[in-house]
Amino acid sequence: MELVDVWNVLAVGLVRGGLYAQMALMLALVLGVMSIISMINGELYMIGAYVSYFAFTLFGLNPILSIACAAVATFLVGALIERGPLSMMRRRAGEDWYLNTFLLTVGLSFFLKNAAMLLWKPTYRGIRWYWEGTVSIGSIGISIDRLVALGIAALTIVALQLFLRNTRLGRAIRAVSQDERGAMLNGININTIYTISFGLACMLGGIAGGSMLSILPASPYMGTTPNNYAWLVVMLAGLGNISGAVVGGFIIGIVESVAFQFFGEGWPNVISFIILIIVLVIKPSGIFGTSVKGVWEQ
Amino acid sequence: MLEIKGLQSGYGYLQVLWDVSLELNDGEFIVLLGSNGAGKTTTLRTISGVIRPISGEINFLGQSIGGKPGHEISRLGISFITEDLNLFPKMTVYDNLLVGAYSVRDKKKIKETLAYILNLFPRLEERLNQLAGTLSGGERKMLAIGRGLMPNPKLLLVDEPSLGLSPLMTRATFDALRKLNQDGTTILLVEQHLGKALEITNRGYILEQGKVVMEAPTATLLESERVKEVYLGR
Ligand SMILES: Nc1ncnc2c1ncn2[C@@H]1O[C@H](COP(=O)(O)OP(=O)(O)OP(=O)(O)O)[C@@H](O)[C@H]1O
Ligand SMILES: [Mg+2]
Repeated sequence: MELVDVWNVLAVGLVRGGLYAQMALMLALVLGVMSIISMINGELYMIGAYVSYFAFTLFGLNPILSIACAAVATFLVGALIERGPLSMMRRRAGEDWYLNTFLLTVGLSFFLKNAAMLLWKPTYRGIRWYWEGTVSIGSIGISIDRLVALGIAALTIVALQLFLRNTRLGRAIRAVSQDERGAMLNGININTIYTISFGLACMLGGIAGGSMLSILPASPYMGTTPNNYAWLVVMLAGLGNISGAVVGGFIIGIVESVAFQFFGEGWPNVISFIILIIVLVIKPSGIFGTSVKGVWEQ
Repeated sequence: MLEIKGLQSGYGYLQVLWDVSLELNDGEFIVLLGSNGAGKTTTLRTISGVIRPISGEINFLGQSIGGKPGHEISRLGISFITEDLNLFPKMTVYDNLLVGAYSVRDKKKIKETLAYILNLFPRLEERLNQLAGTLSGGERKMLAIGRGLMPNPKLLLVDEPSLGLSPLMTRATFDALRKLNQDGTTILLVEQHLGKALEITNRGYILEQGKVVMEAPTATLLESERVKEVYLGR
């Protein structure tokens, strides 16, 4: 393998990794704060892609604004889903609400996919590029779009971490994830924190969908694969470890890119899942598994 | 300040408190006594909104708070230091204290209160960047009290602060509570560690099987045959 190929493989792997990391983060955040298993991650990613598509092509907004639209829209959709069906379920189901919400999100996922199918038909809606052209870094050329997508993923991840660590609201989110009663007794409205956290998680998916639009076009079922990857990465990293999820996302991205280079199409998936199985057999709690619940602690 | 009338409370179908009434005046330091399972913790949980009362009245500063959610009650000025402390183990001491100040918007005020708390518990100052989960039992208790003070509560509910502490640490904790009371915080203390508790409080209630069976100034309680027999084992 030539050196050029190595860099190429790495570049492709990092871009994929950014997507997986964002998707895994989405899952880990909801799991860490609300202890629920959400199956609609992929659908928020899909909605993000559509919103950016329409913002960019129909309304002619610039790329950054188009992606920002996806962020805002998916935050709102997430907050509405939490305020509506999820919180209703929480109030009614009492202790059993974890399993019930899991089933509910599975149902919502079907609903959203089919709604997209009805509204927008199964055609792929993609764009050729946000920014035309490639940049050459050393000996390799990488399209600006890929570079920007990776940059946005990195920025989003860092911003989320800074937000959780250093702001009043971020601390409240971490407090709820670690001890709900303690949080409530300190004046934190847990329902509000749930809504905001769920919205933020959905926003991560939306940003991923929007920023990858020229690479992966919008279609009703586009979310299924990223959702599977979110799961794969989170299980690999270990539940309850957000930094682990980010690292795991990039590792899987690179592994797949390497696998593709060596074995060709079809294999990246297989190899990722083989790795997952091996890791779970050796260390069932995942590579970075922790026992204490929390979101993004030192 | 706090007035409870005919309070019935419990967990689901299990009623624990039966017609409990008690009163707490501004600036008082009172103790709630009772044997294990009498319903002391349940009383504090009901006041602080962790559980909803079945019926009865709870008035705080002239406002009815019975059945309000816990975060609203906290914002009205009641801090509850629970038996299990409910700290945030993976946050630093400093972050725990800042979460305590969640409902305070005035940065200057937060700084002042923080300085006051670190003066009250100098040990916390040395450990500001340590994770709460790695503190010793005594330090954890100080942190819980400190965090409860961050919103400048008008009323402090403290559940068995001496639990699991050495005599020395217990004394330090009680001294801190007394100082807080002298500085103007009204305190409702639940305690098994009678001798010391009766020394620093003004008044006490005795709870037995979910009912208030006695209410008297602590001096009187110390003399009472009932207290001597049941609680002091004499
Ligand atoms: N979460 C709960 N669910 C159901 N029953 C409970 C719960 N917590 C307490 N109880 C019951 O309520 C009764 C009173 O408990 P409570 O904790 O108020 O007693 P206490 O006076 O604080 O006792 P201790 O001195 O042992 O702390 C007990 O019989 C207890 O078993
Ligand atoms: Mg108790």
